[in-house]
Amino acid sequence: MQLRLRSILTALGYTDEALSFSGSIAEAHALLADQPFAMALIDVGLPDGNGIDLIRSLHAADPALPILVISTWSTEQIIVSALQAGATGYMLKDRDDMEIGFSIRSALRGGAPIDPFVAKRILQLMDAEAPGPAGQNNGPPPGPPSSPLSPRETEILGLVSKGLTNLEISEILSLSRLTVECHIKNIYKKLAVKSRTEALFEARASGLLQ
Amino acid sequence: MLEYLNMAGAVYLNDVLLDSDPRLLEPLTRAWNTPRYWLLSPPVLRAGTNTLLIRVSGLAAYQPGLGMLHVGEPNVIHERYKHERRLRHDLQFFSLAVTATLGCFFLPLWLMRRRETAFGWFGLMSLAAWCYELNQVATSPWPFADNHGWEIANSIAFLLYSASFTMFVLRFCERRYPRIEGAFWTLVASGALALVFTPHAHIQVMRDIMAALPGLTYFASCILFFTFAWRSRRPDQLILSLCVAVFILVGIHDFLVFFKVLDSNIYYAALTSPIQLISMAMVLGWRFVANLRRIERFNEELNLKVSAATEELAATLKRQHELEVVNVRLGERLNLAHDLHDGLGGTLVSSIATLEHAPEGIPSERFLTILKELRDDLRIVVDAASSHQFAETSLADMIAPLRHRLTRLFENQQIACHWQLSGIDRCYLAASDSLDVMRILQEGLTNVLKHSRADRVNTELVYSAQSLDLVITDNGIGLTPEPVEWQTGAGMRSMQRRANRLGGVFKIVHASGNTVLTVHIPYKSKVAKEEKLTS
Repeated sequence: MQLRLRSILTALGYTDEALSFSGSIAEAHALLADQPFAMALIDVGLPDGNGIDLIRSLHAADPALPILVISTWSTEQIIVSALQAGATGYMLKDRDDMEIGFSIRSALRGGAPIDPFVAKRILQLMDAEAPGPAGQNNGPPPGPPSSPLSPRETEILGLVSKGLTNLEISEILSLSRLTVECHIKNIYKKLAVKSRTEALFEARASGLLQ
Repeated sequence: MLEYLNMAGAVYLNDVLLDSDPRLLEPLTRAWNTPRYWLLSPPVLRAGTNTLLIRVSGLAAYQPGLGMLHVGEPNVIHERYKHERRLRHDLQFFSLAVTATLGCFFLPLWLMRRRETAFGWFGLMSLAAWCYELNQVATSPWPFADNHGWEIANSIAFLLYSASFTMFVLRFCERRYPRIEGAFWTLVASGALALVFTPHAHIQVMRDIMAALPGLTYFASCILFFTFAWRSRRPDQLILSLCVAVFILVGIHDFLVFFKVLDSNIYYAALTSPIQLISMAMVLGWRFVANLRRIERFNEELNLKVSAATEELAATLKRQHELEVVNVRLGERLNLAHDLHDGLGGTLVSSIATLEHAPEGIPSERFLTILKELRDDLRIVVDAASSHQFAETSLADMIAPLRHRLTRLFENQQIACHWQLSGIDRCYLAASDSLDVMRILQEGLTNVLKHSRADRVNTELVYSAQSLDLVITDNGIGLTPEPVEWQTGAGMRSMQRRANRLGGVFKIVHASGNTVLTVHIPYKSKVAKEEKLTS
């Protein structure tokens, strides 16, 4: 995979000096401590631990850093949790070289690649939740379920889940392609924030935080 | 003071009438149990000898006679008189009232709840006892014409009383002997008839028999009751057995009086009714409390049972749910296996055949093509499997990932790509069928992408009531027999094969600068069935 990525990235115009590879989380941390990077490609199936945790720590260190996840198997679970951890996109190993290169380029340009089934999953995650945390009935009166997503974001996710690309969506909604990408990035952010607030809430509830 | 005289009489002192009962001829006044007291005033008394004559009118059959006569100081005698009167009159009235109360309580109780036959018999027994005890206080043979009738009725009442007591004992100890009881009641009835039809001459013997037999039955019943009670050790039966013990003592006494073994004519039987009342009240109280306890226990048991049943039900449901989950998983796996087999199997087999029959040295181009085709198949299967949330997935859901991927590829190649989908969100196909549809779609579009050099591609997928139609139009160079794929025909052949499998028609034509690939799938059995299932 390293070789393959190397060739893809070289095709994109990167020199070997600009690329650093590590085979484990420990190595990755050592490299990151060494120098800044423009982008991180992370395989979630690392030998010495969970790639998701690495993503989380990278994202915490530099929220602007684009992080692409590489996954062997397109399970929603892994991809969604990677996005929640702060990844800006992901790609699947079984795709063509062309497609992988495409994803990397779009991530570097500041785009946010997204897949239909991930969009569907995010919609489920965001909608299928009660207003306010459970067990607090003395708070504000329960109004309509307040999804953290704006109507426009929900609309975009709906279109993505139907299989439309960002370009098509931008044409349909008469927005610039950048705007659509921006919306999708916001959705990812909200997903990450949501997962963080949920974690916070749970931590408070279990007495880990005061 | 005179204790009693049987049946009626008059008393003269020195030829002066002191007192007389209303009737000294039949129907005689029934004054046998009435003690009498006279204060002899000086004018009536003489100095020296006073003659007191007592006339007794009685009936030979019914133990006529004269009781003890006491003469003495007025206050002493008056005390005795009061005592006798209490015993022979007041107490008897009290007892009658108690017996009537018992009868009036237990008979309705049985009427309201027929299962309590013991109480029914007890009520009957109380009423019979009441009729029999009336003898102690009645002063006229009314409603009978004469004392014979009265005495017979009285004996019958005693008979009935004994019989009812026996029945009460049996029922109270929860015993039933239908045949013996039938015989017993036949005896009772014949005894009663015998009493009624016996000629006057033999009435005394008959009466004695009819006192002895029921009496003996009564004692037998008492003894029976003791055995039952001691055997069962139930509190209510033990309470009653104490009461029955008193009955036995009293009964023996009265028996001896009746047969003139004891020189008295005071019958105590009637006086036992308060004891009866108390013991029956205790029995009822005990039963009431026991029933309350049973109800409470029953409620507890019911609650326990209900909670146990609820838990069991919950467990069952959980098990069922787990089984269902396992089943669903199994089904998913089977589906995946099917999809893999249907999707990959065909391609694999044909590829193997191609490779086997090929001459030496297959160009790596072709080899790569075959492998890529396999990979694409696998990708669709995987996409379908990973987006399979439920068993039913519409074609729209299936196509989304494919559409997204291909469109991005087209965009990347600067090819305008348009999709026109209609009705496919209502289209539910079997997994293998939708896989075939997707493969045709993928194959067709991949061809456009790789070989057509088109800059515009239009994909139409229309699901209507009659058919499913797939149309891919591109403005490319059309079918030139240049590319390797066309020669080997792997892509074309696989599309053809899949279309046939779907029962559809596959066409590809090139006209006026456009290449049009169409697949028309009219509904036959398979798809129509799917439609029915899902509509």
